[in-house]
Amino acid sequence: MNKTVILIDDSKFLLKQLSDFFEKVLNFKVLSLGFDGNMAVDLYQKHKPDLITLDITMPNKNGVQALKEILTEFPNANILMISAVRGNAMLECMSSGAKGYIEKPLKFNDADFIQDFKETIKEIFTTD
Amino acid sequence: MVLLSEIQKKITEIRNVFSKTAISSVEIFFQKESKLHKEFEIVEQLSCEFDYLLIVSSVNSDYQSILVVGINNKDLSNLLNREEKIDLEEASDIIGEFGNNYCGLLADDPDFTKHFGILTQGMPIVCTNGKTLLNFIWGVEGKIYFNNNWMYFGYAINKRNTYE
Repeated sequence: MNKTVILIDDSKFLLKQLSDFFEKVLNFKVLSLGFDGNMAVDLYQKHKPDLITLDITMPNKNGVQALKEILTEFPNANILMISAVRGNAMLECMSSGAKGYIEKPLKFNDADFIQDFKETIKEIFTTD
Repeated sequence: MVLLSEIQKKITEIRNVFSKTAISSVEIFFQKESKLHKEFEIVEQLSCEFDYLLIVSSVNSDYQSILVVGINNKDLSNLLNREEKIDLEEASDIIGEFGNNYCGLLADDPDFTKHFGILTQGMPIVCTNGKTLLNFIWGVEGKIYFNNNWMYFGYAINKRNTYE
């Protein structure tokens, strides 16, 4: 059975690309899409997916806040951060319990990028 | 004026980073090949007039910057391989995310970070139907083209005020 994922990003354009990528390339079942941190927490509670992806810079509640809230209630949640934010953000997310961090831009046409993305997903579920 | 000269020198040294990043950001985000109209120029004031203008401010402890991306509606439709006009909400979504990606690519460039460090982005702002003049002294600007369509990029950076 396919693993399930919820995708959170404030760009609908990117969510469409990401959804296609998870379904067609990674063979996930996309359960739902959300546009801010509040939706991330609500959708995680509702669906309890195998994986949730979080952007960082989002309105209402950012991805780091959502990450911490989800992990407080669900300490074993598999959370993958996908963000254009550089610098200390990666360290903060990983030390807060994120299982992976993918930097934007998402190079869907780049074989090396796709391979790295697959490796990250594999590592998340290997250590699950 | 000493501070301004320092900025002018720095952006001149890495001028090609801004144009190179413009080309690769379009290629990665829109899967479109584009070319430089001519090498980006160092300017004292960013100035452009397009249907859509994206403005993304960024900051770190030493510098503050503004990225400006301008594009006309028909050119955005062309980038997306679509015939119809892109409405403001969708244009804002797409151009805003594109700007985030441009800033991310800049932050990945060792020449840029050697000169300015890593700047944290603010929320993108998209404006429409207006001429923009940014009195944000010393920047670099230029255009790239693809299939007779144009896209403008401007990046202005200055020392951050330390008396806040």
